[in-house]
Amino acid sequence: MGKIALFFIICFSSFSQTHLYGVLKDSQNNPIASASVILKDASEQTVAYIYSNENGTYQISFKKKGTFSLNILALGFEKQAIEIEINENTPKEIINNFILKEKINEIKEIIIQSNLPIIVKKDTVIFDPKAFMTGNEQTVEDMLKKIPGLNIDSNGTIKIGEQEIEKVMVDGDDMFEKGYKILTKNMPVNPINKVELYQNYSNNKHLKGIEKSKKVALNLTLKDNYKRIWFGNTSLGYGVVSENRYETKVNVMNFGKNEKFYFLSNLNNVGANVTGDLNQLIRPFRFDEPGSIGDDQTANKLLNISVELPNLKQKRVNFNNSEMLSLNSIFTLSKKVKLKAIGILNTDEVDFFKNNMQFFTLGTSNFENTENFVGRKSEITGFGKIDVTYDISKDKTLQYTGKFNTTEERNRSNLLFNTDFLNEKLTTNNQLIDQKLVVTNKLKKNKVLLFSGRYINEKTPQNYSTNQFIFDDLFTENANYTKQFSQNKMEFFGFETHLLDRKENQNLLELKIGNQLRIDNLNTSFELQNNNTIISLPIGFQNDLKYTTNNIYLNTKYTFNYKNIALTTQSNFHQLFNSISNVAAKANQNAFFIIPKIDFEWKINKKNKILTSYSNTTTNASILDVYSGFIQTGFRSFNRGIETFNQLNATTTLFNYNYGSWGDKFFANFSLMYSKDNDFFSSNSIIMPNYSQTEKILIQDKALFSISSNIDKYLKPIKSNLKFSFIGSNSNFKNSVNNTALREVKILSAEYGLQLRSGFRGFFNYHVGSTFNYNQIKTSIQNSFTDNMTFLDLSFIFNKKFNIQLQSERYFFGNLEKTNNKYYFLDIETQYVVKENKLTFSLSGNNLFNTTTFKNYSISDVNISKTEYRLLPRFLLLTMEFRF
Amino acid sequence: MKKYALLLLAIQFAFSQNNLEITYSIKYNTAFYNERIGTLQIDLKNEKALFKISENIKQVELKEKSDDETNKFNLVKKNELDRYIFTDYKLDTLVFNENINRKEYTIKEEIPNFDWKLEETFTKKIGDFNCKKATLNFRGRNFIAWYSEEYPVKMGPWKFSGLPGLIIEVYDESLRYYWGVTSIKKVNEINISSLENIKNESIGIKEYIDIIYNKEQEPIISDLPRGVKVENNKIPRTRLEVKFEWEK
Repeated sequence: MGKIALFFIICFSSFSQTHLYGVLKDSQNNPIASASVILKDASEQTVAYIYSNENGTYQISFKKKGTFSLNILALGFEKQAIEIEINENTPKEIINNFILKEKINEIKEIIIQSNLPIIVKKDTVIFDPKAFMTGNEQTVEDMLKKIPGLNIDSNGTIKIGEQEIEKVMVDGDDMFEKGYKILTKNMPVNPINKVELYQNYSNNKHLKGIEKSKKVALNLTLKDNYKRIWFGNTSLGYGVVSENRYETKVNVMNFGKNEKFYFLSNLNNVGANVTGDLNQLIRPFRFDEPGSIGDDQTANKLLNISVELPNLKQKRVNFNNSEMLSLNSIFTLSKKVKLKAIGILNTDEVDFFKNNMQFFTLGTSNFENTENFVGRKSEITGFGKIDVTYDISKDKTLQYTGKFNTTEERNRSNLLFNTDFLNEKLTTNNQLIDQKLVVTNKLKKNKVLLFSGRYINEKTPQNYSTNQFIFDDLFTENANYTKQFSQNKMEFFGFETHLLDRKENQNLLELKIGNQLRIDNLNTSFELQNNNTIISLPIGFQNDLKYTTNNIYLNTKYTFNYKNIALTTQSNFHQLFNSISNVAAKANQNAFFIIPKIDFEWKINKKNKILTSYSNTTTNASILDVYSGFIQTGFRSFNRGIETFNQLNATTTLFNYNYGSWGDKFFANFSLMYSKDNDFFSSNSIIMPNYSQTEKILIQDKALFSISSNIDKYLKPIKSNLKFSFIGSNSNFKNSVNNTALREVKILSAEYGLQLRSGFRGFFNYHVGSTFNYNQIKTSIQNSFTDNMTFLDLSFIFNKKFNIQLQSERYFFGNLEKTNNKYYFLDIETQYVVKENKLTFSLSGNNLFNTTTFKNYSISDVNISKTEYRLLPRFLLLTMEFRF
Repeated sequence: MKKYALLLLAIQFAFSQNNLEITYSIKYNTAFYNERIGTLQIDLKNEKALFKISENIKQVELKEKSDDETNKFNLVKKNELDRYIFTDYKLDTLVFNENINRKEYTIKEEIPNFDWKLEETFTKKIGDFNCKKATLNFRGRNFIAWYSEEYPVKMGPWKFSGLPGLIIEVYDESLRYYWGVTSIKKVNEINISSLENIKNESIGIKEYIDIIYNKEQEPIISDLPRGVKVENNKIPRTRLEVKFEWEK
């Protein structure tokens, strides 16, 4: 009780202070500890208070004068009070001893009603932002940062715990899906009334709590009387000390109670892919989600002449000139009806450059091809989408989605193939109409029935021509020009009834009955011309085919949950009716098969988790497997299908073990996968210098084995995380080349790497890593190579306003000539925030070493190829971003 | 309960008068709103108090409903542990435990100085108690307490102490943390032990702060994939204790 002693000294040394002290005892003369001694003035305000110590003594010192009451309160004793008058004449020390009378306290049960600024419903947390705001918040993001439990990182990604939120809605309307940052970074805070956090969120409200969901979403409710205002941001970037480079982005939005608008545009020639963010809006991919029937159905594009780009950042390889405008709106037509409309217009012009050398080693014949390619793709896309949601009743909702897309793409190329100079022309159109209707009916609290219907109509006509005839070995005609028209037209009709029933014990039963009909028309016509006159339509190079597959199915799925074990069993019954018809004949096939699947998940304890699955799948052949005439798929390549119906059977077994979780000091993951294709489509190819003809053949037994592992270890002494990763795979199959007997192809690949990233809390951080990639392909001969990529990133955060990020990479190709097998890149980005969320300047320097070409090396079962690409030269971009 | 039993080697006090058990409802409006039950056991004679915090009630409710691990509030990493705050006024010591990233720590500090401002003109009736208002700025948060002189007890929920009466309700001004009495019982026996057993394995408050606000963030930052920029690596302090007396 050092404090008391100190207290004493202070008390006795002060001047005009009065000291009250004494001893508290009970009737048996035992000292009373922990009794409250309160000195109050005439107006009942506490002047000083103290608790008695274990000896029952108390000490109170004070300076005031007047009439006071000294109150003694001890638990289990009657309260006592005496009056004390302090004036000029009273002594400085007053002793009052008390003997307290014992009493029996009543036990009181009380219930407290409190008004918290957070209301919790089941799985919904509602925040009143006013309770958390301090007044300097400008944007929604500023406000969300203050709300307990939401983590917003420097990019604006919003997380709850470690989980990123699914979307940020405004009054229940979702315009941006995963692109919510556009909203949170720009929308002013004033119109916001409440913030709602939904846990275990479902995209279909009636499935809430029934389907298995770990999604989280936010909703911002708007103040009723809030006037509509326009707000947004713009960012203007222009190339300094380099050739003309620019990037302009504009976002403008307006949210009213009943109408919401959002306009977005992006113009750039710095390689930025502008439609990337919009793809989620155009074709949302919702794997295995109820009501997603037909999501995987598209018409096929048969020919593509634009160059595949190397695996480098877009801003290095994409010679683009893109313009994109997007208009989005949501209208609440009535309490029950909501309309959402999206329109996108995009134009793009991309240049391609490639020098390619291919070395073919085919046993009997060995040869070399060179291709010098310069091409340009011009594209214009118009996309529109309408969503209507109609709440028929509390438990019934109708959703309609209508989409249309039209794309016109023109490609031209100048190609120097060995000694021949070719001009290629390709136009591709895409026309898509897609309509979907989903009715959700919640039968009971844990039971939902969905009816989905969908109709898709899509076609992609293509016209391709080359102004040189290089197929002298293939055709005897004296042609000097070739032309191909091709079109895949697809119609899809699907309807499905899906029942989800979550049992009392949380087990989940799913039943799906449906019918999916797909009708494909494939028309291709390959022409040989001489001086604009068609001289031949070679036999075996034409297709006019209708392929119909009708699939009636019943899927059953049951998930058992027992303690830490979840077991999902699935059986899908399919009855297929296939038919192929062409001018000459019509053939039908009926097939019945069952697809079983078992998933087993065991959380052994908090650290250890095992996941295994087994499935035996049967896949019906698609239009691209069944056509009979050759189709030109490149300037020197032709492909064809197998002409007959097929259902391919494969089994897959997966095992995964997990120790710890992301962000732990030690985390490890290990996976094994083995899949065996009992039948599969292999190829029979004729490969000649000037052409290749590949046809599908059906053979047995293809095996793939893969193994992967990740290990993360946090190294405390250097405050850095060490990551090790390994992926290896081995596959085995057979094919045939140039009419030889089937030969075995063995492919072995391995990728392994190490990374070290610091977590310093100072201004500096680093991230360094290196990845090796080994590939081996063995036929009668064996080819292999090892590549390496090493990177070093440095980050300097001087303060909230100013930071520098530096990224550097080194690429090494083991099998290229020493003179050009190493490539170095350096990018620097600096950012200066003039006013947070208002005005920011950034300067980025790209490709500072000015590496203008990039060569890579690859192998296949027939050739080795070396390809050189052109890269965007060094440029500096100064960008100003401001919010209005 | 295992740790707890090990820790407080159950020395029993049997006094007929001086022991109280007060139950608080605790509401944490944090990452996920959660409710707990706090039990404050007071041994007045020996000037000791033990505040025990229950598991998340919501989670308990869900657990009772189902065995389905996946259907719980498990977005936030949580390892339930019996939490306690033990105060020994004679030794001027406060000991509490906390689970930080799956490791349990025992933290020891001196009883902090609570500089309560009594605002007796503000009164509020809570249940049958006429409560008086007091305010406190403590470790970066402003608290509002309503206490009752009817129970002359200096001990309070969590670390709080030193008011002229029992704290019936206390919350921070943003209402992120809330404690309110639901029942008061007199008990004959309370198991509160001495601190001797845990002294050796405990860490000091300053080390604790370094762990929660510095060290634990480093592995997370360093585990990010390439290209993820960290522009401000000072993670905002959002815990109950934000700023300490010795920090500027």
